[in-house]
Amino acid sequence: MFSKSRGDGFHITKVGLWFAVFLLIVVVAATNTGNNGLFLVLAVMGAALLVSEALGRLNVRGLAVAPSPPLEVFANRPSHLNVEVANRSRWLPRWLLVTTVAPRDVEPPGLPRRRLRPFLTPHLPRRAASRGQIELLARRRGRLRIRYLHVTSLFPLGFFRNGRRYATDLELLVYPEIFAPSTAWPAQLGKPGDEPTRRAGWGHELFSLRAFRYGDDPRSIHWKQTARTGEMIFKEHETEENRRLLIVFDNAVGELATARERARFERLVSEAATAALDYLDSGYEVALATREETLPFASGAHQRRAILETLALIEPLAESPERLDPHDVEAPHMRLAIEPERRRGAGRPAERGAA
Amino acid sequence: MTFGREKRLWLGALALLAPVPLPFNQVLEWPALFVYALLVIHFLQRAERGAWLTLGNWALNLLGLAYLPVFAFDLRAAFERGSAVTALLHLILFLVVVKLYSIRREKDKWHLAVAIYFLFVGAMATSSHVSIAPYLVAFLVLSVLVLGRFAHLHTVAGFANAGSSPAPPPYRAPLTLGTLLVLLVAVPLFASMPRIREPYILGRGTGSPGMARTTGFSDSVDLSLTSSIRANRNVAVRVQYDDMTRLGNPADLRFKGAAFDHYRNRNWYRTLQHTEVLRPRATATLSRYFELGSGEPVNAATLFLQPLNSNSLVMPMEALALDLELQTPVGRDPGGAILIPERPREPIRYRVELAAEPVIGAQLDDDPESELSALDPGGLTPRMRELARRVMGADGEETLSDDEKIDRLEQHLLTGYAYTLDYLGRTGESPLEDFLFVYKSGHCEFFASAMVLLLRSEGIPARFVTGFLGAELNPLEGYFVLRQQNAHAWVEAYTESRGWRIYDPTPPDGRPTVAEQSLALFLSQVYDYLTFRWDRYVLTYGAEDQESFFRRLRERLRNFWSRFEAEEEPATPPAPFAVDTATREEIRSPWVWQPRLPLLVLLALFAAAVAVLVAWNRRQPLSGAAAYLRLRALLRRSGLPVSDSLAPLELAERAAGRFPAAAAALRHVVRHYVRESFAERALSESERRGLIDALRSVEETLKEERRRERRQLRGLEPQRGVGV
Repeated sequence: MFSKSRGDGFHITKVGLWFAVFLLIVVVAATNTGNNGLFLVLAVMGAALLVSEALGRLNVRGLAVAPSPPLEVFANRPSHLNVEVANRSRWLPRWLLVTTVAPRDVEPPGLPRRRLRPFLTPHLPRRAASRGQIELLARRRGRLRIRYLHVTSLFPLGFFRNGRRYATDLELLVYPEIFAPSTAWPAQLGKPGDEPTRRAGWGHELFSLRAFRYGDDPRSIHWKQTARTGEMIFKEHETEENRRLLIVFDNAVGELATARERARFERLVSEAATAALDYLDSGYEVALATREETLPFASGAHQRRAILETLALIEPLAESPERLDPHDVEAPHMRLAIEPERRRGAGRPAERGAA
Repeated sequence: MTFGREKRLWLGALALLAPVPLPFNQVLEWPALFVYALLVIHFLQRAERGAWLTLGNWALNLLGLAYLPVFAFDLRAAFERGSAVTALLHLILFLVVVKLYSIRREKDKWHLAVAIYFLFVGAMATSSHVSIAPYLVAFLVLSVLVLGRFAHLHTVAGFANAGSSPAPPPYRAPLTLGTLLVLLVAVPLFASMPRIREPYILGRGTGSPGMARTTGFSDSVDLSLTSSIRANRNVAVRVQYDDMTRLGNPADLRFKGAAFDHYRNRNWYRTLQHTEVLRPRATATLSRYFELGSGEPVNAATLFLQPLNSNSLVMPMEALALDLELQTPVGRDPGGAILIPERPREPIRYRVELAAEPVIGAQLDDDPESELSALDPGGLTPRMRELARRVMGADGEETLSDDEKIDRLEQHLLTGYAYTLDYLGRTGESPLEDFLFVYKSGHCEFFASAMVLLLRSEGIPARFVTGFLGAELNPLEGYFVLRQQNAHAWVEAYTESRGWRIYDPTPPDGRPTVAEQSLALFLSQVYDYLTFRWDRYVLTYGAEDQESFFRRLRERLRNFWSRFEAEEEPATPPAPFAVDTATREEIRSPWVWQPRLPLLVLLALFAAAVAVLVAWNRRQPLSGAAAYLRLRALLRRSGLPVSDSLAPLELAERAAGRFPAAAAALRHVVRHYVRESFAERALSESERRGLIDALRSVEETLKEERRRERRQLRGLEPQRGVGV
């Protein structure tokens, strides 16, 4: 089945424009002199233009374009959209296909005008498919709907850039921009999670000794006690549950009237995301508290995605007189908020709080 | 190869090809082209090595300044010649060479391409020869290659690494298709482009004054030849008759070119100052219609006159009316020959209505002193008068009538003199007396001149007439060709009883003949056919042709729709000189080779080519699955039980056990099938070729195995593994 597609107007290249101007000169000369040699040149040049346009249009038709979204798309960071371009024609191969995402086909508009690396298919035999990647660069976090993928070609003579838009209706969730970790929060935040929790786990501190059970890691057998007691004794470690961080993001910042305020809010969102990713990658359990939603402590890919999705869609809410406090007051936390009285000042992007 | 290097090579090739026709068109000197070609070849060599020379700005400025005086000198010489084309071409050649050696940026290449295309346009505009057609095709093919490759390089420029040219994709098929399509589309475009002016050709035409020592038609008749004359086979006129069944022997077809009144100092002269300007009759068409005589037309013909360096319009002797597209005055000289003020520089076309008998529209003036007189005795000597009296019996007892005198003189010349084209050793001071009394041999002009003067000495009005006698039928098209070697001279004389009449005193063996059929003649006719088609449908194609085409189209459409109407509309009266093609084809002589056959052959070839192309496109490339299925079929034919449920690897092992000689090849096929089908890994082209080889090997081994088994069954070979 063919992808639904739409024509993409008429785009003459600079070479085509030069050719057309030259053709006009020959038109004037031929008409003025009645020289059939010139009319012959004119006919061949006109035919070249027509055939170029016809073959060019044919070249971008009859394709099936299937994109598959990338796992993660971060704002202002190149990501790759996997694309398969298939030639459904039984007769003609295709040449010089450039598949890309045009900024106008994206909702809301957020792609930069300068396209990053499109996907080039120099030659696509009939009934064949080609797979590649389009590099994307989303400027803002949030939902990004790609309605069409744009297939263009300079084939055959480069006079026209023929294009066709293939419907995709692909929706991506763009995560907040991620900064370098060192800039995410103040250095004095320190190393959270030094307190013991007195629960068994996979930490480094000894928790207890008990009899070995089937399925226990043999590397944790306490050989001295085993030798002493004559029974297999297992060395249980303390959990490192204490290596956790609560990110408190107060989004009740009121209406952000100026671009500067909006930029500051976005920066805070990015800092929250950067901190979350950094600590998750370091093995921490991270929780996120916002005015609308609270994600409990957890680690792993699922938590990573949950935090990023929350932060990708977070919007500023009306100001609240109540301060958003951490739900777990004992947990180390990072508070990210724009204080009302300091909104126009330097601001306090992050502060550390700990029990 | 880098992008820049490849682009330079392509542009160099284009620059080398572009000006090739210019010297042939006589608008550029050979030395200039030679120098240009050397520089371009040098550039190409350096580009091939990747060590091209790039001139700096100071060098460009210096070269520009140095060329200024050359250009000024060139322009001055050009204005003296009356055409600035050569000077402009020199300038463009200079620009192309300089630009080739100063390519730095991408846009320099496009500037260079534009300059090269100006050379191409110059070559096309100044050529009138059919050989420009292959040049056009060659340039088109090269241009398509260059533009296609440039488009490819431009596209991949953002993807390629380190600027090295990527291997071109298989471009041959689309570019061939594109070129053919361009040519196909160009034909109707060329035909339908609106023509405002009459066709004009910038070249020098084919007429040249260098015909003096060859046979051929000319406005001047000079009898003082002292060398030999060679036959000239250049085509002068083509004639297409509407009704060929009314024609007699093609060797007797006679066409009048010019009539001469006065003989002075070994030359014949026309009295052009007394030319009658003909008034055209108003017609609905763009052409103009001139009546030349009275009578009922029985036939019509279209004539295509090549530039002959003459003002004469060559006309069949039977011409009653002239229909001329050329917008120029038309005159008739006192001898009845038709002429136009400007000598045509390109082939022109006109139609004539024809009577059953020759129509001689000559004037008759009895006053010997009149400039219009056909009795001017200039050139007569006493010795010639004496001969005239002796031959025509004026000194005898019985006075002969004028008709008898003419017949006797004609017979005298026909029988008493010989035809020759060899005049080496003759003085040329008194050629007619030498002809009549010394050498007694000459060519047609001597015979006709002598007869005119001798008749005039007897008081019989006569004129010297030149034109063409005999025509060669071109079977490819069904038209007649008048070659320069068909040029002829004869006499038109007036008597009371007969009026103006044609007399031809040249012996039959000296009259122009029609060549016998041979391969050389056939090839010459093919070439002539192509030239004629080129001249007719390209060089001289104009608004009249378009108007005629649309008129016929409208008539056909009207006829088509009238079939569906209840009442028949009255038939549209045919336009003057409109060719009824259906009638013409019906009455065309059966021995003329019809052009339908080549058309059918061409159509059949085209259909066959399309069929081959379709079959080739439908051919699927060999896949691993297809190869596996073929392998199963082969093994089944060889007696191995192959059930549908047999897994591929098991099949391979069983077959290898049964046919150990083919084990490697069949395992190869199965391995690729499994990999393609289950690992979803597409086969590369080399793997595909390997599969084909493996299948072939399996097939041959199995065949050999079957032969061996048959021999065993017949007892010719001991069974393997059984002791004897």
